[in-house]
Amino acid sequence: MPSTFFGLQIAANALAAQQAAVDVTGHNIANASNASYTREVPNFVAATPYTFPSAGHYLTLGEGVNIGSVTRARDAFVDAQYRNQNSLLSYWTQQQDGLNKIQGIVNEPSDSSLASTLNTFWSDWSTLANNAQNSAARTTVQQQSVTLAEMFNQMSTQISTLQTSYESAVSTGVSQVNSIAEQISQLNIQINKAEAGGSNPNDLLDRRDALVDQLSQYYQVSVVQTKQGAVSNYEVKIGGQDLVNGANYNTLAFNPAANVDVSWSGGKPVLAQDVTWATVTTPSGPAQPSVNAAVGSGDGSGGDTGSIKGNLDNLTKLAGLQKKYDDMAQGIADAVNQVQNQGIDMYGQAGGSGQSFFTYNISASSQYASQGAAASLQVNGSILHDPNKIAAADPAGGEITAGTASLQVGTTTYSVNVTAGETLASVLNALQKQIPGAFKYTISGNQVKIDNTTNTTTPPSPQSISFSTTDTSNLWQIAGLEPAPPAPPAPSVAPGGFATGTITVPSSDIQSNGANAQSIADLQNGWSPLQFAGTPSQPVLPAGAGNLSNPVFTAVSVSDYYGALISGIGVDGQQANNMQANQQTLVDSLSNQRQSVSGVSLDQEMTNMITYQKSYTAAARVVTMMDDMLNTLVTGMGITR
Amino acid sequence: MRITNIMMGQNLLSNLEAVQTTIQKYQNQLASGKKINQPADDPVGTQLTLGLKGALSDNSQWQGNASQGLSVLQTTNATLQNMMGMLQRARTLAVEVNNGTFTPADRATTADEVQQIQQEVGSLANTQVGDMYIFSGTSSSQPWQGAANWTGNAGLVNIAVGKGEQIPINADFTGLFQGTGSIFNVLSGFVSDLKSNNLSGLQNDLQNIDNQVQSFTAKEAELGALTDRVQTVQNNLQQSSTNLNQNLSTVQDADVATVITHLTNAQNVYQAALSVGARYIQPSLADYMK
Repeated sequence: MPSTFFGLQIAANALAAQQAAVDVTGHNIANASNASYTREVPNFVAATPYTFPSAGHYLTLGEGVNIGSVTRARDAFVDAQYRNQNSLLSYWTQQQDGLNKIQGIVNEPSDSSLASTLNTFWSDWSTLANNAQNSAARTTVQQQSVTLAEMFNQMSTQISTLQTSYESAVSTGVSQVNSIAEQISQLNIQINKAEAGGSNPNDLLDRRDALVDQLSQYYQVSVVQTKQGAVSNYEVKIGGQDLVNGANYNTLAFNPAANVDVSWSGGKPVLAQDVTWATVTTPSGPAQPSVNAAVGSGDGSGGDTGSIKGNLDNLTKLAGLQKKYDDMAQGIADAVNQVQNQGIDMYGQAGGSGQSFFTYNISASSQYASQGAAASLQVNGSILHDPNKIAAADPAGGEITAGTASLQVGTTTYSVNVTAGETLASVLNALQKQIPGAFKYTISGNQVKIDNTTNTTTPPSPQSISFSTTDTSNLWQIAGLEPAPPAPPAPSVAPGGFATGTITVPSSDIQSNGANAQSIADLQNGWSPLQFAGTPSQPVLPAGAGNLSNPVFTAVSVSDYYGALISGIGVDGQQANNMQANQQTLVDSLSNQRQSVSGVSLDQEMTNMITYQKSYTAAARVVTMMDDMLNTLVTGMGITR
Repeated sequence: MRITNIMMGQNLLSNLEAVQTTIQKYQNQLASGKKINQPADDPVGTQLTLGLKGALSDNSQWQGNASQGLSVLQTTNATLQNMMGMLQRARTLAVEVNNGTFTPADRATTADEVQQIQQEVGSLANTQVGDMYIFSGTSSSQPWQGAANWTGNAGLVNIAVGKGEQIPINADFTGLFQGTGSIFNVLSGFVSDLKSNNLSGLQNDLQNIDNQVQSFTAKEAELGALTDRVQTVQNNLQQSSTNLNQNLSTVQDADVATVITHLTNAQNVYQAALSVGARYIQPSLADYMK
């Protein structure tokens, strides 16, 4: 027989259980807007029944209800999916961010971009070609060239600044990962203690899940949970390698102080600096990665996505962009310099007195590695000082004028009269005839070779040709006085011919034509005959023909090259935008799935609350009823009135 | 599917963000008037835009060159015509002085006038457009320095009017101004014949002046042809500039009507989303419980 008070006990259990259930509901409602909270469910369990013999057989009576456990409504499969997609989303968000910033730097298409500056640059050379003597046209070319050089400098600086900021983003990410790893390991300790005591530390589990979610922004992570008895072991892995294993954790390292050096492999930049595994906290902890092994280089299941990888890829992209700008700056500088060197300036001097138009602001050879061509491009100081030194004229534009051609040897001068429009060959021929056997000459193209002529000073003005029979090697470029075929008469050298001498041929001021400036303006449409030298980090100061076999880049024209560069950035940007949008949709959908399982629905909680409340009220009624019954028993029975 | 409160909030928020992104895109297009505001908007279009802008910049430079060339050619034509007028006057004088009634004194007086004509032709021959002496070839110094002293050359000044296409904007004037057959020599000879009263010489001078008239006419015809050519090129350039501008506009300009329609649509969606959100986010069972 059960005790008289058996029914009261049942009601008391029910009251306690319903109260606990209302408490759980209250906890759920309180956390209704906490995104990382997992809805808790009170699990009612019927109490162990009471069995007693009665009337020859056993009777089993229920003992009411207990809360067996309070568990979290959580789907581990959706969690894993969410974290995978979340790391991809972070990756593409970073890519999108980087490409947006890059597009901000290139600022195309606009009226203040490199393309517009280049258009004006070429156009100004063309204007100079029409007005070679005009100092305003010269100053315009000079100033526009400064603008162009500064534009390259500025772009390069902006790219470097952006690189620095992504470097620090990577190192911030790495320290976040390390901090999260430590927090997870500490939570593991607390959770294990609670589990050993037999309880469900739901809120601690929530905090751990939230931390792993956070971690999935930085890297793709996988979670392995094993149960040994009541206690579970919790592992978090990146790229197959343990980051956290129970109470122990590994750390990552990134050293932004080291230059983010880029090596070039197959035409693509490869970062030398990667995020690597650092030390382990205890030797008995998680499986030890080899120190300095790149994170995620293992089985490829992680480390290839996430914001840190996104930022590392941004660094690679920026390095590639920097190189392209370096190439372009050097390509333009080399091309302009070469054409410029073929021309003559307002003083009749060749190629700005043999100086380059563009130079690089590099103070010492040790700095070559850190200063690219784009960062250091500048207009030659002597041209900045005097725009008349721009070699706009084509030496072939000169004309022999009427006057006297003379051959001076020592103090003796021989002369012949020259009429306008004569060719160099006829002038030389006349001189040669006047002084038989004085010298022999050959003319080939724009070059004239007199005896075994040598240059004595800087490239000569075309009027004056010095020669010396002692030298046997040099060809002289007589700046372009077009010789007429056929070849001159067979030379006859008198015994004891002149050792040295100077031939002067009257010619008009050739520096007034702008044909060479036009040649520079024509570079806009391509420079296939020209080739360039150098590697991106080591701009080679143009040193003439020796460097021409190794082009910086090949393209139909500089605008073609630039157009391809910009459209490449555009394609990347478009891809990043699309991928980011796709990932966002996926993550939103997974997040909804997760919320669908784990989220708090106020309607549901209210319904539950009413259920529990009514059950509580009913249980209380049972107590009242039992009280009535006991009252009947105690006060109504066995009393004689 | 079980719907929870946070879900509803998240969904509403991401939908609102999506609509706002669209609105911002169209607002950008309207504000800039361009449908390509950064390379990612349309990579191919961006490359096209860069190419077209380059071509337009070339084109406007060539047009500028051509009009500069035209002004030089027109000035040259006008100056040559002035010189022709003076030659005609000299010819009239040459005919007159060959008249037997002219006294040596008359001829000496005429000599002064012819000298004056030579002076004027010379100063016309020094005409400049900008810094350029239009008759001196590629020489930059003043070509006529008095009497028969001519320092100009036969060089042609070329202007670029297309990719690799150059047109000279002057001609070889050395035949007119330089050497024994030059106008200055002819007029000098005329003057000295007048002064020395050399009648047979004066006959010759008339012939020489006639020859000069012919040379000048021939030069004028040459320059006229050149002017036509530059003008044709300029017209072509204008035409192609119009085409290029049209192409550029097709590639990069936003169609305002379309964009405004899209924008209005997006704004309607945004407002609908807001009002729906405000209605279904708010209530729960709690509102109806006592």
